[in-house]
Amino acid sequence: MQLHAETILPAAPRRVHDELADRGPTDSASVVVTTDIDPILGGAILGVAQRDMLEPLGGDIEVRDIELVPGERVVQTWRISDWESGVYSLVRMTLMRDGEGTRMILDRVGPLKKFLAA
Amino acid sequence: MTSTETITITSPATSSGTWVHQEHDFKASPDRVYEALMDQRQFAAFSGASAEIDRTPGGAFSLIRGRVTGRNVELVANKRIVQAWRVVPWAEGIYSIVRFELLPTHAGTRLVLDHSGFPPEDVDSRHGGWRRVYFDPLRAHLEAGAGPSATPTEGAGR
Repeated sequence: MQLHAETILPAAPRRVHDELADRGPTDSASVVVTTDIDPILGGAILGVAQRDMLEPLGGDIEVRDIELVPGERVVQTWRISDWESGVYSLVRMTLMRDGEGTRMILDRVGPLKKFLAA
Repeated sequence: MTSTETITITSPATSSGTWVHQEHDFKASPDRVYEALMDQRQFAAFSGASAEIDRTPGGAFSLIRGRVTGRNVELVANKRIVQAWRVVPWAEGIYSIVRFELLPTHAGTRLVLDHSGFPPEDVDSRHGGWRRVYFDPLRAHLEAGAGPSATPTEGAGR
């Protein structure tokens, strides 16, 4: 499934980037529990990213950084904890300053619907 | 944060986007197929071009003289490879998801490829490119001149 969404976030692009970037070890994906994320900024981002994924916002998400450009772009793979093994979505968040905040353009691809049918 | 942010969704989340599904049989065991795809010397040998592969989860790879780059997302030895995968002509930040599943068969291995999320204009090149750049040379490398195996099963869409 794919999703393109835009939203305005009330923080500078660098802070949004830092909030999104996985700071875990590079040899393992970090498991992000939504309650551990900034309840305002992170929660809003997750709300957009998870929209229409047929998953409640409270689910754990396994995140792995693919490409980080501070203040500009975050590319990650996301995996909801109860998806079939080996199934991932790819989330690209492009950040642009918009006044005092950040315009975040989110593009999510995958997973294919056939992988969620079970 | 206020609750006044505007969310604009311009593509339906129910769309699958672009995808390629292919199945290829090899007369080689899953561990040999896995090693050929993950060992940079073997990859360079069968592809005929330089390859650098950090074969750890999260590790970066650069294949076909840097034309294909990305990161390993999940590695299950001899069974599965999931990669965030891109080719040079794509715009910055554009990646796709590639998954190789290696299934043991009586004759060797069935490799099941699922590739999704690439730019729509790339459907034709991805569909043919997998066979031309990856699987035909890989088969030749693994089977050392043996004839082709079973007819591949393929599909693609957007």
